[in-house]
Amino acid sequence: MSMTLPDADDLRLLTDAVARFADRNAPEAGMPRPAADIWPDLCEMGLVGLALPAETGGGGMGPLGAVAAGLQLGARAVPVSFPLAGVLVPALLAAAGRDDLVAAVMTGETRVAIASALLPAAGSSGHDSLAFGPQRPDLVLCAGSNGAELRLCAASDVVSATAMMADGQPAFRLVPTGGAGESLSVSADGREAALSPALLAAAAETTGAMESLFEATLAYVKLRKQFGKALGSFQTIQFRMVDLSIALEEARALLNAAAQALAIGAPDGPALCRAAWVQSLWSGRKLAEEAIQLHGAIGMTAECAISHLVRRVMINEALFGPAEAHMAAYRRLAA
Amino acid sequence: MPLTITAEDRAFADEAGIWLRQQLSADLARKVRDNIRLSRDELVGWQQVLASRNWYAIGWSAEMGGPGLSPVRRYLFDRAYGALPAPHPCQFGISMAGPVIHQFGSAAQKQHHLPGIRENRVFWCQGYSEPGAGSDLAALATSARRDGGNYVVNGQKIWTTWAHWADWMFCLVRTGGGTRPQEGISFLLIDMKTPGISIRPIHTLDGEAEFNEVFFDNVVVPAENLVGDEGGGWGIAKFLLEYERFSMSGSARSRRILGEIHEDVAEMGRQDDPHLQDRLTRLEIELLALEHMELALLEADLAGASPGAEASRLKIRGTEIAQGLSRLRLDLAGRRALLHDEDVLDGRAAGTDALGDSAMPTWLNQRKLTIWGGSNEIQRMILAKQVLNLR
Repeated sequence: MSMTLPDADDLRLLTDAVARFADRNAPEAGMPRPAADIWPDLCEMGLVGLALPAETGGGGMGPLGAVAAGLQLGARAVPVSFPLAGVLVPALLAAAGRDDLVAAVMTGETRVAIASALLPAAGSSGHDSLAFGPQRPDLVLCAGSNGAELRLCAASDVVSATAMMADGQPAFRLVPTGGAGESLSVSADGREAALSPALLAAAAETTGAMESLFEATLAYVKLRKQFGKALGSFQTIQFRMVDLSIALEEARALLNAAAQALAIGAPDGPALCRAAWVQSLWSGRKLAEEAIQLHGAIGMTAECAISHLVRRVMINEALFGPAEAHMAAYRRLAA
Repeated sequence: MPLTITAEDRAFADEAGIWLRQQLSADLARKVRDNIRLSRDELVGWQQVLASRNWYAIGWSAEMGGPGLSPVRRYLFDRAYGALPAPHPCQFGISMAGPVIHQFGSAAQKQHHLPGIRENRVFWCQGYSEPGAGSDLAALATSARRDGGNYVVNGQKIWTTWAHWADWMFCLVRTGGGTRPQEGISFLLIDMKTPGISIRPIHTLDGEAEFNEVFFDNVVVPAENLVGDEGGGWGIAKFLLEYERFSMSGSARSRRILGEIHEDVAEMGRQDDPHLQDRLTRLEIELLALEHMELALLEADLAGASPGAEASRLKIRGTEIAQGLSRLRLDLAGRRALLHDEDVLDGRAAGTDALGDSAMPTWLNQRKLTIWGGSNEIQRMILAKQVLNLR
């Protein structure tokens, strides 16, 4: 992991560029429907492999870059597989020494999805044979026969069907690899090192969505009048908004601390990443539930802007795994 | 003072449970258990089964033509019913329009409407909320202007459950007069086939379309459809708030869901997960507390203590527990909950994973529980004012 931090101006430029990208690609209001394929645009923006060190052909922006990009993508609930296919996959391929593949993934020439068996808390909910990534993947990164082995399989060999997630992104149903594909080797430490920035990217997406949920709800309670006055003038509502602002700040603060620690190679980096993910789960739930409740019935509608943000928070939660698994990992890493 | 439950009461409830279970088709039970959206025919068809034993209008007195169950038997029936994966019957006619017409209606209105409600021949919806009048219902603006022997209705209702299925609507309208907004509200019955009514479905974030907007453009309603007096609508709405207050908890259904989650956990081989067991036990104890609060209120009511506003506690805790259960199910489903398939949810295609297919849509849909029926914030206002005397 590179010790050189990206400079503040570069991060600002990145943030602005991704914000504009996110605006262009924000989902339309309404019911869940298959998301547009914006993977080539994500590649063109340099967001795929953004966090990998420049020496291995990556974007060199590290965890801070992953967080900056994730925040903007989450703020508009852009339905694209940034944390998994854009951060975790390149990191695992680099850890396996396959710089050639990293380069092909970053340009968009080769699309790689990743199996749920490689994600935290694999198998804890029973059958776990899905993969996630860009539309029409060429390859799928699957679990191997033991913890250090990964298998890179042709999608045509292992994908039996394409389904849709609640945000419109694809999910690929997998059949067992049956020993097909190429064997890759990544140590347990290598897997943790690859997972850390991906968790941060996911926590950042969730936090970006939380920020938008908070802003929308704050604006709504100031505007919406019942009983002759704005909802926000009721003290109970004010206190609830304050609690939400605290939940948001807790997530942000831990996210930034974890990104910073990971970027400089501090020994508590990996543990902080797990903590940041767990905090984003707790805060994300609060924001999602309260945003709907404080909006009242209108917050329940598919047309309301908050619906995509709520789905983003809930999907990230399910994709990256429950608090218990990460808390156990935190205990192990912090010991 | 504990409820007196006789052997005959228990026999009644046992027989009811057995009969209901026999009547419930495996297909319908599976759909309810798997949270598949029901069609109008499926819901009304099930209600017809109940109506065949005069159990659709289960709460109606003998005077109203209903089964005239004692409060104890009503309570036992509700518990037996809730244990089944049976559809929750549409309440707008039997628990709202019907009791109102019985209490406040003219002889002609009773004759015209009550049999159709009781016999499940007429489907009703509730025209209350408006874009500007949610929690502050008294701010409603849909107007009904008297014109000869008719009212001419203009305005808009929103969040109208099943308006697209309904034959009739009971509607709070502004007829004007009085000094406070509440004094200008009247209770009007409207035939949904009347020209000038248009309905637009509202999709909720889980994809379902049970709610609607209903627009009234110079809708001509006979003056005979006014229930009670002009300006008496708010009083009727308050009567309805108090009616059947004790059935606000949803505890029997929650008990069924809890049991199903235990089955899911066993099926996944996670019975020995201590964290999961703690969460299940916690919800079980919360549910026990709710059930006993409900029982205590029923006992107090039978003893003549007339608890009223206290029942708001049941709505608050009942909805929080139901949401807690949907949250637990969602967490249990993990990545299995990621996929969304409208064809499966609508029952047009067979699902492959009952737990995973509906965990997320159900969690999303059930956010409505703490918002509708008088939001939990309003329920807290009622408790604060009327029980704690905090003003």
